[in-house]
Amino acid sequence: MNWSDTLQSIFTVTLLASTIRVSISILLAGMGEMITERSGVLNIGVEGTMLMGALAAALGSYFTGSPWLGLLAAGLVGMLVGLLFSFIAISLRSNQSITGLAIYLLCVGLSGYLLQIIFEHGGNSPMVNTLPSLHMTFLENVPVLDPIFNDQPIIAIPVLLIPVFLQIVFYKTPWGSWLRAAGENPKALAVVGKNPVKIRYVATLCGSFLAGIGGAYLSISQTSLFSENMVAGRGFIALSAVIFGGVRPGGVFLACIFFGFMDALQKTLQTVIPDTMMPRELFMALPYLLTLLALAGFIKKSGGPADIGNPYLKESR
Amino acid sequence: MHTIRKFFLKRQPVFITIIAVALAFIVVGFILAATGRNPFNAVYYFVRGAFGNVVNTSDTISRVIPLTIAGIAFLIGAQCAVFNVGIEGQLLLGAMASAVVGYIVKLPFYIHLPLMLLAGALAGGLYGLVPAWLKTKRGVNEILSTIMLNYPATYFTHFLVLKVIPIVGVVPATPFIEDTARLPILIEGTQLHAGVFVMILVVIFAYFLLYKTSLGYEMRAVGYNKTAARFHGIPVEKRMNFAFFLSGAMAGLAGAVEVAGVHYRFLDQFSPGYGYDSITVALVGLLNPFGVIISATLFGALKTGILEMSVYSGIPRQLTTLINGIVVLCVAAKDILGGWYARIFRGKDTYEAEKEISQ
Amino acid sequence: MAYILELKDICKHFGNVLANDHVNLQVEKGTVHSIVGENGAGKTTLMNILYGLYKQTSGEILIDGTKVSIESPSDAIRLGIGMIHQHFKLISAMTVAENVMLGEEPIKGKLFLDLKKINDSTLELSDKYGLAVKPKSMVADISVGIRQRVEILKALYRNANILILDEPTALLTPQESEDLFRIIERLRKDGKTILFISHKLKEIIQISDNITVLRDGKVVDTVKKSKTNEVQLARLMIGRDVFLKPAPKSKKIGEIILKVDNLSAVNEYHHPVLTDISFDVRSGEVLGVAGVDGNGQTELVKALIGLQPVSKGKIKLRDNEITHLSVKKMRSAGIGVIPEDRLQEGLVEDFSVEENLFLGLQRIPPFSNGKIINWNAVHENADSLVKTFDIRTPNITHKARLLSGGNQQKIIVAREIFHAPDTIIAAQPTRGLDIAATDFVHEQLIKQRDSGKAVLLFSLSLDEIMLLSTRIAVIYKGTIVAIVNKDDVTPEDLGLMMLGGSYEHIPA
Repeated sequence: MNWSDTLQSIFTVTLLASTIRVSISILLAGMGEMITERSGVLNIGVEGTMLMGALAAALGSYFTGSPWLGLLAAGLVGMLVGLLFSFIAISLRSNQSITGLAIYLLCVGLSGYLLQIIFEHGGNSPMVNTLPSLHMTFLENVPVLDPIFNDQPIIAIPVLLIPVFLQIVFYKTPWGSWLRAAGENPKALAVVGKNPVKIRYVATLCGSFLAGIGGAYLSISQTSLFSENMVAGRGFIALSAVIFGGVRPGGVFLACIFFGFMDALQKTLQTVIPDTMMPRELFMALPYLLTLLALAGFIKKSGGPADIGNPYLKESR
Repeated sequence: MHTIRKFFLKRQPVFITIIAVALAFIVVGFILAATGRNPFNAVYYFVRGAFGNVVNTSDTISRVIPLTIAGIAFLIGAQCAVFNVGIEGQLLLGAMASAVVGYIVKLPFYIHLPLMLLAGALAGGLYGLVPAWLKTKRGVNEILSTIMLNYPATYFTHFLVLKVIPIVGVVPATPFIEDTARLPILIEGTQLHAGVFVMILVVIFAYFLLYKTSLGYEMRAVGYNKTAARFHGIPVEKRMNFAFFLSGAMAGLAGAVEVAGVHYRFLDQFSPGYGYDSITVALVGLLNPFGVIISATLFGALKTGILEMSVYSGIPRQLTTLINGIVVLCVAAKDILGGWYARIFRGKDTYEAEKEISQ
Repeated sequence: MAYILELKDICKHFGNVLANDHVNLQVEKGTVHSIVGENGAGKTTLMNILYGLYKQTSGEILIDGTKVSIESPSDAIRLGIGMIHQHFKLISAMTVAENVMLGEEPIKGKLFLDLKKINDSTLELSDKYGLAVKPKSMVADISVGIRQRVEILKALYRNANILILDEPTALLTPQESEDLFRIIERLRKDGKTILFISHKLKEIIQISDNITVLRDGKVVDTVKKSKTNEVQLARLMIGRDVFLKPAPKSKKIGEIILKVDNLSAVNEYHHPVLTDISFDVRSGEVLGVAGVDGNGQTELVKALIGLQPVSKGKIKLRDNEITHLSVKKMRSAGIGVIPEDRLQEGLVEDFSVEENLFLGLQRIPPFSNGKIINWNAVHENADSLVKTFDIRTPNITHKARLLSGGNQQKIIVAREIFHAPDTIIAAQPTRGLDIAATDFVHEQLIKQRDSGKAVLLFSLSLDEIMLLSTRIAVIYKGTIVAIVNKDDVTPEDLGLMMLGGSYEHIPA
């Protein structure tokens, strides 16, 4: 085999386009989790929230015929899951990790259960209407940009802008200050008359909303149906991206794109390298191993919120 | 009145957990009802499936075995501040290693059986050292790493039975293990096998280790407070690495016992999520070795009961995972129940005062 | 004269415990009014009620003669009450100005922070009261004294007229305290009213106009400064004549037990944290290490027990070099430690009393043969230590978490002292303890000294250093700047050395 040809057939603009496509769901969930973590709450249940979002989107699209209503449903269901998590982890001050784990198990079970109850046949929902893709005529003749950015799913471009938006919110607005304060030292916030519990709730709900949308992207944009466990660890990869990106918009964005790129690369390699040389099953294990490798290479502890994972206990009663 | 109060107060964690689990099942009942299934009907089939006759009952017990061993795996980690959510993957690798040792050689049973169980434990334990390294050397949250390491383990074993090891029959699986590597069946015509003795040994081992040895004392000290442990000369990282290894080894052993006692080969996707159930089992068992047997019995019954339930009452088997989630959620939230409980049995005033002092 | 603040019959119950018992208090505008009392006398509870963190069970609060209801800190802020907590409520990862404005940030364009105004207003306010604070510094980088001024700015920015200072000098050097008093004076001249909570009688006499003494939740008396003195206040506070007396002098100072030679260490970012530290501690003496918090005390303690890697130098215990040994080996060589953070470092809160009483000793006889624990020996040891050290616990299987701070500290002291190492390192051994418990710990340390052991005492309280030490070493920026005999120095000298001898007062 000619290596330079092989390399050329791997590293194409199509790879970049597909990087964007597979990054979107991780990016949505990662940005959401970043908001949550900035407020001092660690929600390990993102994977579950995404699953419920994916199911809600498919159901919404199936029953109303409108993928947009499906998208909305996904966000709302995500928030519902977030509300449950918040109640137990923030209001009842239970261990956030265990609560997140429980939410994950619950969502895996519930989404599978509801899928069976509603459609009464094995692992998949019927096909549903999907979100359109966005064609920008002005890009048509631009080299490189056209194949990368044109005809991407309609939510791709706005999603790519979320990190910029969050950067401004975090560091240039009062809400950003309060959000960060809640994550650094909630008592300092409480003594100036702001309620850290409320801020943590809002942050967790925002995060869960985005995670729900991230799930929806999988079932009504990247594919056109819901199948059991379809999120397949992307929620956990998003969690890793948040750590890897130092809980900052720019860093998390790059980390999400990096993990997305690894996934896209893995998919391309599968088509280029014959199964006998490198079997498919091993390729499929790659994203998880690479994510762990990235985390392992990452120098521990940098710039995460000081009070993350600790329940806030009001001093008064 | 005083003695009754005292009785309930002393056993507060036990009763709280029972209340939490009961609460979880009430929630599940509501979910069943809300989705058009009759919860009482479900309970009927569930009980029939779990304990209806000798075969079902012994099947239930045969599921208690892997659940208990896997539950102990989670418990040993958790007692030393290690949240090993990767038991499923370690269990799969352990099962695979033991199956290979089981079919590849033929030895006298008193060597072969221990050897194949040991191989399972070793495989699981070694895989457990991966998140150990990530945690103690690189500071990677072990919940995240162990959960993600389940995926490669699943794909890897899947790959082995699909493409490396010759396929026997219609389902992807390894060849059958030799007779000398099998755990004997205790009751003819059922799945109840001698693994039950392995299980009892594992429980006693865990209890002895944690509560009777200096090593176990040190592990528990690390579990409660790493800083204090470090100040008093306990090598925290070493103990955590050991906990990771031992936890993984127990998980691998659970897989090996399943191979040696139930399937006699590595069957692709043989585990109905024992690894995930183990978390629930250990938490409901209050991270106490003997408590784990009791809670494993409950969840073993759930496993067999739900099979019958899904056949006769059209309730999807995914309900198991759902129940797990709700139970863990309720157990996680039990502190608030603890508050109410203490108010009832201690009297409101004393409770408030103690809460004040403890702040 | 009209009172700016009046408390009428304030009661606060926590269950059966009466923390405030019909407290009456009248504060005149523009005065410094001190509230004194022992730990547990109800000072902090009372102030928390005033700041809306607790709600009183009964009683009334009047501000400027009007009855008010304070449900939350926001209410308190709105009514012009500001509180400077003993443990600062600041966010280290933000700047001084961001902390000052937190929750009340100036806005431009309806949505965005007005960063320029945030910095300018902070500077303006700081200049007005002579606080000398730099708005753009990160809180993580500034000293304790400055952090306290940031807290004061926070209150001033919110237009506080009544400032509550809760034990404000607890963590300050004498010089920093002097500065604080000057700031208080300036605030008072500006018409602010100060509520000053403390149990340090000397400074109370120095700065107060009026003094209210609390004991067991009740007001014992309110006196004018001019009509009282330390002795009278102490009697009111404690109910009898007691004073922490300086420890009797060392009887017999023997050979060198612990010797530290040119010890240096760096932190994880390779910045030096300890530089060329040399000292020795002899049998029968207490060497006190005085210093402002964060000058290397924590690292030195850790280096001496093997938790802080040492880059250069030697640690010798009698004739054995123990540098670079593991914690376990250093401790079994004969070093006992009472760590500064009781709950995090000294105890496993979820272990029972008996389990805590052999923490670190789990591999040596009589508690085990190295592998298997001998629980009978553990029970016996616990029974005897509980008796000897008067640890108040229902039984030895009671969780340590449920005991009071004093009794938790007794567990640690009992364990470390009883197992008879040559050297005892006591880091902040009485932090947060009441007078009786403090006295107990002091007594035990002196007893150890007199039995021929070497005692190394780290304390942020100069009083404690002066009370117990035979010699005093001053630590500043990770190095020992002086070692002096206790009898040759005054606290003021020490304070100056603790600040590197080059401290500049802010002008009065």
